[in-house]
Amino acid sequence: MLQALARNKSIGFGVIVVIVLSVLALVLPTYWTQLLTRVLIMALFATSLNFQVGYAGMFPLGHSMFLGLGVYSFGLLFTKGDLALTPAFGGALLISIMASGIIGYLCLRGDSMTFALLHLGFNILLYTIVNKWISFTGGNAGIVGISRPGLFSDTQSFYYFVLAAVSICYILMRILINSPFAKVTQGLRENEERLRFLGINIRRFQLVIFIISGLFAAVAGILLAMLDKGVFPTDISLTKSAEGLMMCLIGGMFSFLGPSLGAAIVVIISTVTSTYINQWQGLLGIIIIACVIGFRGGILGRRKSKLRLSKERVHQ
Amino acid sequence: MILRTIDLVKDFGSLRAVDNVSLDIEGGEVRAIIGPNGAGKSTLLDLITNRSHPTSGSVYFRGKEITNLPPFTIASKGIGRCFQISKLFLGLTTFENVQIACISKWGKVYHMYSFKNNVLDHEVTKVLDSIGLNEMADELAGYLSYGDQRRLEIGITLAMMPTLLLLDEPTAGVSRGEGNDLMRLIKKLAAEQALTIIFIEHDMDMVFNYADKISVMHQGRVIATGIPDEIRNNSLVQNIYLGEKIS
Amino acid sequence: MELIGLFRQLLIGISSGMVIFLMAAGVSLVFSGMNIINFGQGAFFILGAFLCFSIVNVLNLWWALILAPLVVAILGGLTEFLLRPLYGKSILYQLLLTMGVAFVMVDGMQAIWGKSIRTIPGPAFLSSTLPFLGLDFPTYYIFILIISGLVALGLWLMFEKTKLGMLFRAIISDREMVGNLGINVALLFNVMFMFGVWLSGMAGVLMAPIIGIDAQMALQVLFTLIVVLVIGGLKSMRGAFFAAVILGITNALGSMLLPWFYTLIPATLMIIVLLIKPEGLFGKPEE
Repeated sequence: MLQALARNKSIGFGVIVVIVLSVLALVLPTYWTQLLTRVLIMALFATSLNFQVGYAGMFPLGHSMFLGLGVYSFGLLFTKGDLALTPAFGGALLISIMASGIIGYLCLRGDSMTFALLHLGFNILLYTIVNKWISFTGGNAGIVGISRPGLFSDTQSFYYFVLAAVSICYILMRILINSPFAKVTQGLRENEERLRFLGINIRRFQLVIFIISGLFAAVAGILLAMLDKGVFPTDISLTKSAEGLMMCLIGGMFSFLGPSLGAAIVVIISTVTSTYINQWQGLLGIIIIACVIGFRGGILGRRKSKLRLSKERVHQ
Repeated sequence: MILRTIDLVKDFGSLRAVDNVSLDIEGGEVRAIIGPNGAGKSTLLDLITNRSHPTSGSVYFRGKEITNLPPFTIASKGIGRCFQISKLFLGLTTFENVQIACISKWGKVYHMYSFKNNVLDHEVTKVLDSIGLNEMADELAGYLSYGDQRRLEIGITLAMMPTLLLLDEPTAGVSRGEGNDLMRLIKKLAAEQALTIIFIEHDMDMVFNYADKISVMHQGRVIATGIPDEIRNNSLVQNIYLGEKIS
Repeated sequence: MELIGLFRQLLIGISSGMVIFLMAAGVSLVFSGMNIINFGQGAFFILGAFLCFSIVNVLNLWWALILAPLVVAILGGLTEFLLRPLYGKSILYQLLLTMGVAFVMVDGMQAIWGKSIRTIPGPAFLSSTLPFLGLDFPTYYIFILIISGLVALGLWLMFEKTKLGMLFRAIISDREMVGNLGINVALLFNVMFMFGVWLSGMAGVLMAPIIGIDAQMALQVLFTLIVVLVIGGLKSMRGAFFAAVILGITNALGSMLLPWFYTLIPATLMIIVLLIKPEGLFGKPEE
């Protein structure tokens, strides 16, 4: 009974959030609607990252490469490949899944430090390719000319398009979070060796998590390309990867919506405050430092002990 | 013959931790492995589960060789392992700890959807009942008392319904009374599930009360195997425990 | 003649490689001793360059060489205090914290020196070239080579021959033991970290006259450092040296001889090394 209520609560909460977000676009000026669109997209990105970081305890230091793969494969298929929006979308997803599989397989061959460094290495490699292969990718200047789906071209309707797309993704992810698969993922974070001795092929398991995480990041990338109407190297840069990690940290990596909150904070600070305060980067830096030193669980915090009794029996 | 090791050797550089150990364990047997610290007992368990690669020798489980298989495969073939220091999912609740084991057991690891919040509720509760931790179901494993954590460790391992259970000092760090409770629990569950058990233990009372057979290890070798009475009267074993050197 | 052009590039490659080595040595030292990767090393490098810019406007390059690295080192010492809670924690938090510090520093630098790219004219006697076999060799690169060579030598001497060096080596091989001997490990850590940062500051001063000093460059420098360290081995000075110099040469020669994909060599090598020998070419595998 309690469980049914809890489930309904979360559905109810989701519905309210979507309603609020929908209404906001009607009242806010265009600048803010555009900003909110970016927040939604980056929230999706951060949540995809958090699958690995918060739930699985992995350290993908270069996750922007999957955002960027989404951005660039969509953008290139659309401009150079001359595909229409839908096939470009599908093609980009396909490319991203394959890339996730290959990169993930290679990254997971060693221990977790090797994973982190290989991940970083691939990010650097892809970023360098994007930056230097000017003839293909447009280099530093990027490529412009990506269009949005016909009916959704202007800022407001595009916002609703993104809201719908992101909501669908969140529903899918939410279903995933409540599944046995996600439970085992948390076990991976808590004690990998115990999981191994429960008969689970850790490497294969991590690869599946990796691909799912990369897939949602790629979707975010495709939406981003449409938002910016172009593809740019910052979308695949180390800075973007670091921003993703910051979003997870600041908002809270131990909850489902934490990274989304973090995304809102980071995007708003880097976009809005930069017009008022020159030192937004420093501000972000201070917040990060504070979070790492003090609030490891971010704003939304960690799970606490359920029973008050146990406070007396905390095991050393 | 549930488990057979043939001339298992583990060298760490020039140090031979396990020296040509050959054991035969029958199905349903409760075998204790005793010996002074550093005798190689834990390493032996590591070799059986390939947590540590044997330098040479082989391991057979239910007639099939498992010597160099990855630990997760060995575990899934039915060998469960409890560690000297509990390996639990400390940030998750007692319920979730057992739940994960059940998910693995019942093949639901890659089920990515669920419209029920508590998968395998029935199976998990059954395990929690059998180890007496139903009251603590919602508590985070990290906050359990030491004894309860040991119980949980056993519960998780048994939820996998293994054929062979390897226990590393199951009663270390708990009171005599609690230790007896644990061993009685283990023996009861073992009988119910037709388990074979190998356990490392330092507490001689536990060993003589609960073991069918005892193997004594010293400096990496098994120097004696027999029923408790035989071991009790074995002069070689007595020498070891009185501290005299064996030539 | 083609060959002379090659030699020239080789010189440039080796000297820039040496400067990268200084920075990499700093990171490697700190990692070996304290198990922390200072992801902010790039920011400290740029800070050194900016300080050089300011000092050169008032005094001259020689003063910059002495003062700037010291200032940077002090800042590094302060950063180390911030890092204390992170000892033993995962690489994730180290990355985030040192990046946070780097962000604050980059902003601070932009606040002080503005956002435009700064340049320094090299000191008069050094901006000339040395004619040799028909081509002009830039003297400044020779200067860099000599100075960084001296610093590297000094580093080696300090390590092997001085008491401080001995303490560093002791910490690297057995941290706990050193603590048990009654030595103030916390202080030693701080000195070690400052030392690593000092090297970065020095590198910044050396490179200042030949680059456009831009705060946003810190990230690019960080990439290069990571690549060098991974290839050479995070804990190996020798590895850092060879990797840095080889990458410097590859870069210099590549820009002259190959089309754009020579830029991919460092990252590709990094990936290959991680796949085949994750501890680095000169590293020792952890058991």
